Amino acid sequence: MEWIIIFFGVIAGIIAGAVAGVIPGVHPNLLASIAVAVSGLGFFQGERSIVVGFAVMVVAMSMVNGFVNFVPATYLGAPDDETVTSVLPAHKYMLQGRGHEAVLVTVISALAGVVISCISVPLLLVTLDELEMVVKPTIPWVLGGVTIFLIGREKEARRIGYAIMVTLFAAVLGFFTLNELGIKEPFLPMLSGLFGLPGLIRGVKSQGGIPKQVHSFPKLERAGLTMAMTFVAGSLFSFLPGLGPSQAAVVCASMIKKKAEKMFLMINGGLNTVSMIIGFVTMYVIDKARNGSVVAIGKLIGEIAMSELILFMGVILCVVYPAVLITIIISKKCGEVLGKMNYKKVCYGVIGLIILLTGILSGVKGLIVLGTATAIGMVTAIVDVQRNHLMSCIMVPTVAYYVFSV
Amino acid sequence: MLPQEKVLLRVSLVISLIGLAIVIGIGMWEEKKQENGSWVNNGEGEIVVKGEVKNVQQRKSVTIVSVDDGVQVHEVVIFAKGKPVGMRKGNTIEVWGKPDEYKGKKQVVADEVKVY
Repeated sequence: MEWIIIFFGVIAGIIAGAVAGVIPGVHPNLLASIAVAVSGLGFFQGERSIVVGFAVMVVAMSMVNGFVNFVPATYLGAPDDETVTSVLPAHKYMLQGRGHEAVLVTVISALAGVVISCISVPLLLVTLDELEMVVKPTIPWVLGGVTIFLIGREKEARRIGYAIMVTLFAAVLGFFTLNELGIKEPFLPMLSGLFGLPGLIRGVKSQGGIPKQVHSFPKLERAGLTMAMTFVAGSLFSFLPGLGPSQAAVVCASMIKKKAEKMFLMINGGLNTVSMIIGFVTMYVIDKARNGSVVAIGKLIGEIAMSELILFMGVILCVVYPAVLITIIISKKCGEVLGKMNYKKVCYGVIGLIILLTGILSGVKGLIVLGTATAIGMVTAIVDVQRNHLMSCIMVPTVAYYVFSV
Repeated sequence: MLPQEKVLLRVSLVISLIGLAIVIGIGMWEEKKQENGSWVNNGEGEIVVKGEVKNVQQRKSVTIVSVDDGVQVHEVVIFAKGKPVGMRKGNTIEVWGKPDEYKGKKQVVADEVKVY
C-alpha cells in the first residue's frame, strides 16, 4: 500500500467533506462522482493503489460531511437529504441564540454513532445476510404505518384533515420528482422547497435580526436510550434499497414526544454516521451499494475485500478528530459572522444561492419542483401541522417501490 | 473553547489515534501478505490465488468467481460448463491460472481450482 496516497486521500477527503458540508446544496455524492470520473482518466488507470486512494478520499469526505453538514442546516436553515428532518429544530435553536448548542448535540451523537457502529461491525458481518431477509418484507408496513401514525398524532379532526392534505401533496410531488421527471439531483429542489425556503421566506418578512449566539454546551437527557434507538433504526434502514437516514429519522420521530427537539437532533446527528458505516458493511456482505458514497466506491474498486473494509473503518475513525474540530470551529465562526449580519440579507442570499444551485444542477424542471415544493412547505406552515408529514415525499415513493418492484 | 468541548476533542483524538493504528496495522499486514504472496507468480506466467469466494456468477460456458484473498478481490474466470463442484459463497478456494485482461479489468483465467 502506498502510504503517501492514503495520506493524501484522507487529507483531500477532509477538505472536500468540509467544503461540501458548509455550502448548501453541494452534496458529497456530487464530489464522489467527480472523484470517480477523475480516477477513470487515462493516467490513473490500472494503478490499484491510486484507485484505493480515491476510495479513501470518498470515505473521509463522507464522514467529515456527516458532521459538518449540520452547520448550514442550523444557521442557514438550508437542508440536504441527510439533515432535512433536523433543519427546523436546529434553526429554531439558532433563532434562540443557541445554534452552537444544536450543532454540538449533533456532533456528540455523530461521534457516538461512529463508535457504536464500528464496535458492532463484527456482529453485523455475521447477521446482515439473515437480517435482510427478515426485515425486507416488513418495510412497506412500517413506513406506511408510521405515515398514518404521524397523521393520527395531530389529534383534532381539522388538523388531521390538513395533515392528510399535506401528506398527499408531498407524496405526489415526491413520486413525480423521484420517478417521473428524470431530473438531476432531485433532492436539492424538493427538500430545499419543502423544508428550507418556507423558513427563509418567513425570515425575509421578519423584522428582527439574528440573536447573539451564546456558546453553551448541551445537557443531554436519556442519551443512552436515544443512541440505542438511533443505532437500531439507522442499521435497519441502511442496508435495504430505497431507505436511508431520512426515513429512519421519521420512524424515530414517531416514537418520541413532539417537543423532544434535542432528542430529535441527537437522532439526526447519529443517523448520518451510522448509516454511512452500515453502508460499507452492506457493500462487503451482500455486495449492494445503498448510498451515494458507497456507489462511488463500488465504481472505483469493484467488490470490497476484508482488508479494504478494515482500512475504510480505520479511515472513518481517523477523521473523527478533524471532523469534530472543523465543525466546532465553523459553527462558532458562523455564529459570530451571522450575528453581525442583517438576517433579512442572509435569508435573501441563501434563497438566491438555492435557486442558483437548483438552476445549475437540476435545470428548469428542478426550478419548477422547487417552486411547487416551496408552495407545499408554505401551506404546511400556514395550517400549522407538523413538518414531518412532508417527509411522505420520500416515504410514499419508497413504499410504492417495495410494493411494486421488490 | 468550552471545557466540555475540550473533553469532546480529547475523546475524538483518542478515537482518531485508534483509527490511525488500524490504518497502519492493515497496511503492514497487507505488505507482509503481498510479500508472502497469496498472489504468487511461479515464473512461468502462472499465478496462484487463495481466498474466500464472495460471489459466483454462472453463465453459459463460463463461471466467474470473485475471490477475496484478504488484500483484494480477484475475478477468476473458469471456462467450463456447470458450476465447479461444491463451490459457493463463503468457501475457501485455491486457483492456479494465468493473468489476463478483459475490457480493462484484470482477471485470472483458471487452469485448476481446488475447493477446501
